Amino acid sequence: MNEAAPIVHVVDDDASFLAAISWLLRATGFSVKTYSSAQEFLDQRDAETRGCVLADLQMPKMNRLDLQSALAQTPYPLPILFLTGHGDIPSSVRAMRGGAEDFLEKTARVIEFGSQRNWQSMV
Amino acid sequence: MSPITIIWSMNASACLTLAAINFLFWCRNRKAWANLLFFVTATSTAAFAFCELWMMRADTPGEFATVLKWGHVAVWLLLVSLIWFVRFYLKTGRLWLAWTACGLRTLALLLNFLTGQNLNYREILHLGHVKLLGESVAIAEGVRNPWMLVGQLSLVAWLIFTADASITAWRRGDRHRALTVGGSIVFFALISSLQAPLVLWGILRMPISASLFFTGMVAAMGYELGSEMLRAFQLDGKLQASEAGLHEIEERMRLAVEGAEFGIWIRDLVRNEIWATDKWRELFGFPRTERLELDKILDRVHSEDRVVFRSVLEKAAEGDGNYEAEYRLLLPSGEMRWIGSNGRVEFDGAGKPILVRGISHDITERKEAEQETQNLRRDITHVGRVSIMGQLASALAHEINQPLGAILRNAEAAELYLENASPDLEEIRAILADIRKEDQRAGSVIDRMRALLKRQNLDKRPVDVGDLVGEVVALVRSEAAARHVKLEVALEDHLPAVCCDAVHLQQVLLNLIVNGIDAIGDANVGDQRVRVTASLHGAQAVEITVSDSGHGIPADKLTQIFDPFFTTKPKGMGMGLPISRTIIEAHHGRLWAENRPEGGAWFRFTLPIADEGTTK
Repeated sequence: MNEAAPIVHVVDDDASFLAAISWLLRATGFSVKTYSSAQEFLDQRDAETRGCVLADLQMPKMNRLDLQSALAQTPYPLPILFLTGHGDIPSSVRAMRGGAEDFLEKTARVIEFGSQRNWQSMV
Repeated sequence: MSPITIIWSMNASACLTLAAINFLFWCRNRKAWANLLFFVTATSTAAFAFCELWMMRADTPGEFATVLKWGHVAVWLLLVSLIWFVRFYLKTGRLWLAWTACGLRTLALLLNFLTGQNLNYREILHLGHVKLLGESVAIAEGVRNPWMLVGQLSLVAWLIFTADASITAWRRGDRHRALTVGGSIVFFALISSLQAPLVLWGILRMPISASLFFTGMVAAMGYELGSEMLRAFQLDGKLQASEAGLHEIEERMRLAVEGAEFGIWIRDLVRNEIWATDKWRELFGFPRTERLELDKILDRVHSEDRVVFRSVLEKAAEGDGNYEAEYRLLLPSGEMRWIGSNGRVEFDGAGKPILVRGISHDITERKEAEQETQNLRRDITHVGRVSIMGQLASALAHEINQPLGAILRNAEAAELYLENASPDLEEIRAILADIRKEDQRAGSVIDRMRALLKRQNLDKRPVDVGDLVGEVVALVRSEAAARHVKLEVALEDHLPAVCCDAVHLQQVLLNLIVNGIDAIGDANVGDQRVRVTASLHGAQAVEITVSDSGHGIPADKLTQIFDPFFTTKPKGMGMGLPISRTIIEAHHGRLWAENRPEGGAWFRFTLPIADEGTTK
């Protein structure tokens, strides 16, 4: 994997989704690392870790708030994008207020994934 | 004393006694005209008897003539009263005959005073003497008055009138009266009408003894009236007894009404008055002394029920008069009370409502119980739909959406790779492998759901089939009624308890019955019924069948209907029957469907009989 290539850290408890999103992001030119939980991501991350985080808004064990506050304490906070279920507006709004860069609908078409302006500038 | 004096005075006093009794009776009962007329007849008979006695003892022809003249007044009274007595008593008789007889007699009375010494003699020249009962009595001898014929004509008219009236009464069926009153009057009138003229025309040499014959009539009439008075007396006794009986019935009725806590109210539409029992006032919260008005009562009725209450009353007044209503009252204390009312509107001859009678009773408890059952039913149906079917369905949706979403993403990624000039086929192959894996995962979801249900700990206990069916039927009965479907239950007697988880089994039965009701609703057939039966199935199991009168199931769909997601209902998820089958199989039973030969479908399932040791 190219060191300089921007890395998208995907956190989701659904293995099928992780596999599929990896293929999709790779196809659009990103490097991808997958984690089955927020805790796993936080454990593996170090000072050198760059890129952005793409996390499920509804996660078991560690929730959105825990992840956001944990990341905020690091010297180089990574931007977070959240994946939401369809129409989950209130929690999306809360996530944005908590410092999230943006959110994407899980079922969004691939074009939308690729064309997100923030998304490309962040990585 | 001479026998003649004794006979004639006894005769007269007997008549006077009867007259007095009847006069007193008439005084008490002014409508008893027959008794008043009888009083006149009897009194004038007595008077004429005195006249006769006097004539027999007369010393001079002048004395004889004067007594005979005044005797005619008695005869006039006697005849007129007898005529009207017959008319009143037999309620018949030709009026023109009656008036003719009366007219002739009145004319005779006038002639009696205007011509000669009296009606019978121009002049009595001397008194003859004849022997009667060993005594010498006076008889008149002299010039006869030809006007006497008018009097005798009146007797004939009277005779004809009485005979005619008696015959009419006899023919009408009033034989007893016709015989005793009419018959005796005719009989004695005939004798006296023969004897008196024979004497007066000098053919018979004997005194006039018409009073004796008149007494015969008086006796017959007195006997009749006496028995009538006796009957009235007995009737009065019976009336008193029946009044006592009526009071007793009323008392029992009151007891029953009070025992049943019924309140009675009566609304007089003509006088615009409302009367109600104390219990009714208590139910509606009115004090005993308060005047009742319809508006005040309507004010107590819950505003939502007021329109219904009014229209029920109006409909009853327009229709057959019966009404039945259930409504709520809001009492001044703030308490809410359910009232059940039944009543009847009474109409006058023209069909105009004049009276409303009704009974009301407190049905709050029943209504609350009904409400509770309804809530319970809704809860259970809800729980049923949400907890088992609903949860499973949403779990399924989630489980299936995940692999489907992944498949979509993978396909999109593959498309992106293919857009490259030299696509990496290895990667595309890997993506396709992922797609296949996800597809298999989706397919396994159903199997896992079944396995999940089977793994679930079933709370198996011995359950009475009647209780099981009864509870479910109670839950859906109102829904069935609302959709005009008859719900029948026919369970074999003495069925053993089955071993099952009652909550799960209720879900299955509920699902099958509701399916049946739905099938009928779709079929729109004449005979709308769902029938639940249960019988022994071999020695080890009980078979429960839910049959409907719908159109049945197409033969090629009989097995398909148990496949998940197969549905014929517009909003169905196609999960009811697969889940039901899973539940029954988890109970080691079988669930299958058949078409009934007479139309409609059978859903049958078996459940194992509970072991003897575990039965209640």
